[in-house]
Amino acid sequence: MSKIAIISQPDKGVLIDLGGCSSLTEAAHHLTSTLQISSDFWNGVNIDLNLGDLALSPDEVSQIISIAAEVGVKPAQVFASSKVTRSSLEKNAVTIGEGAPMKLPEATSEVVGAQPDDQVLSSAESEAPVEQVSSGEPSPATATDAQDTPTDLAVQSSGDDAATVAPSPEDATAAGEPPAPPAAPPAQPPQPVILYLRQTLRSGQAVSHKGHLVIIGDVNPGAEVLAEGDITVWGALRGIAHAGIGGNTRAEIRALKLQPVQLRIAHAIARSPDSPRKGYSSHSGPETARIVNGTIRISATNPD
Amino acid sequence: MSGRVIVITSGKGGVGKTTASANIGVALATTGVSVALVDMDIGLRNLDILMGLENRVVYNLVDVIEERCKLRQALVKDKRLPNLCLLPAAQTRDKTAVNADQMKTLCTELKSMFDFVIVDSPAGIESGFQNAIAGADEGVIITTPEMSAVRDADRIIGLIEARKDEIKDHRLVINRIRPQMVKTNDMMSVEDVLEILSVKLLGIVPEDEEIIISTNKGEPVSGTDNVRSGLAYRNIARRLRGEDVPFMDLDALNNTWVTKLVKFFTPVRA
Repeated sequence: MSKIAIISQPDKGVLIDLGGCSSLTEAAHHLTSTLQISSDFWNGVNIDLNLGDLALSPDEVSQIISIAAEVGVKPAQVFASSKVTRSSLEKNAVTIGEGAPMKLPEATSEVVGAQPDDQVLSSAESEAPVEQVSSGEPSPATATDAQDTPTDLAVQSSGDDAATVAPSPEDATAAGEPPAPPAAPPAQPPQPVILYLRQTLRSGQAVSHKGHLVIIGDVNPGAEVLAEGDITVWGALRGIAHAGIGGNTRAEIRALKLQPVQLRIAHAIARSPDSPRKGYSSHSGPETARIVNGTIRISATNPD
Repeated sequence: MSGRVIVITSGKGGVGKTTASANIGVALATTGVSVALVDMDIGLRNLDILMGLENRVVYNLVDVIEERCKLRQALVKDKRLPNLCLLPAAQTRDKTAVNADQMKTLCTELKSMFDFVIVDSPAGIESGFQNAIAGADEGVIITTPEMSAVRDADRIIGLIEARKDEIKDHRLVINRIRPQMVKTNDMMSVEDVLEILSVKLLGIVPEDEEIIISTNKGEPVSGTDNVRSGLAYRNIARRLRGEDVPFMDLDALNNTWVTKLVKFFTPVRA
């Protein structure tokens, strides 16, 4: 699991989960880099902390609290499972969280590979049925194996630098983020959380999210974006995108420039053709990929 | 069936480990044996791009080691050669995702399935390299005729010789040699390199622009005829299979029809 997770709690702001850290130094480092996204980013947001099973002395607890205070954040409540930490929190007069903190859900089951044959992306929906290409891989036998990336609001980065995170649409707008026009369709009950990410994802970076995912920037080859809902890339999608994790076959992937290595929606996989896509240029405009009759099809994005 | 695990390594980066792995893999597979290419450069994977298989990767080595999928599921079959498979590295992880014992187990399993297992090692001598050589029976060291590359190759040979109980044999490939520059004494010759390293020679690969083209196309040169670097890699593969193939005559490479024509019209002086 990641060292730090940012979890949006319905109506209760944001929970910063440091449970994955093994030491105070590590926790302090990740907390600092996360909170320093921007000084006024966390303004007005209710923030809870989860220290997991870290055992911290009163001094160490006050160190954590002062890191938060530097950027004007005062945690509303702090969760800890270690008794030592709980008594240290009491000594520092910090509100201890009642009950169990929200956790990232464990990895979703049934991810990739349920469809043995991969399909080559067709240039347009109107074209003949998608060319079936014999799979490069031996057909996956088990599809129940879980994906390791945690879902929900977790941003992973292979490096130490924490990625920029916007907790929820409300908070994002509060922080001066413009609402992205092609946001998720409103029809899906219950309303999933949308994650706005304002950065280019480079090779080796992966983002996974429980709701819809909007990336304002590019997704480069070697990067992966995964979401239970739709994926919208306001830029070029050149890496791997997996929408509808968990089996939502109505999920869509759309991008201003759709040039992915691979697209996955629910259990379907499509790979890019070996030769450049016929009739495609980078000026083709925004395109949407969705499942039509069990296979992934791409069509021009029309405002409807 | 018990195959041979051969690790391709160099110490220095950019001397052509991945290119050599892809080409030796393709060349071996062309001779009819079954080959698995293993990319151990976790976090900086390239072998899938050179093989033109990037868009077919679903599972990777780390998924196999962490038991998220079976080994058979992660193996990507080559586009042209049905007896050649690639086990890609993970891109969103780092070298610490794997340890030496896990690599040994993996290599044992691969050995039972393939005649040859070619492991592409990352640059450096740290954990990534240590993991790459963990399950190896043989080593192939790649160097270029440059002082820095030769120095690093020397260090690697030392590390490999220290494990001679496991790595029974190791041989050298000298890559990117330019016969013309060797002739004018601007580049170390094969003999110069061998004198420093005193190790068995497996092959000499001339500098070739075709390599750049093939990397971008995702089709290793050893699969194409009439490419001199491709021939060099095919010879290396034959030597790995135990054949006695004479080394390439580098002077002959200079003997193109243009140079012959020039020579023909140059007056001979007594």
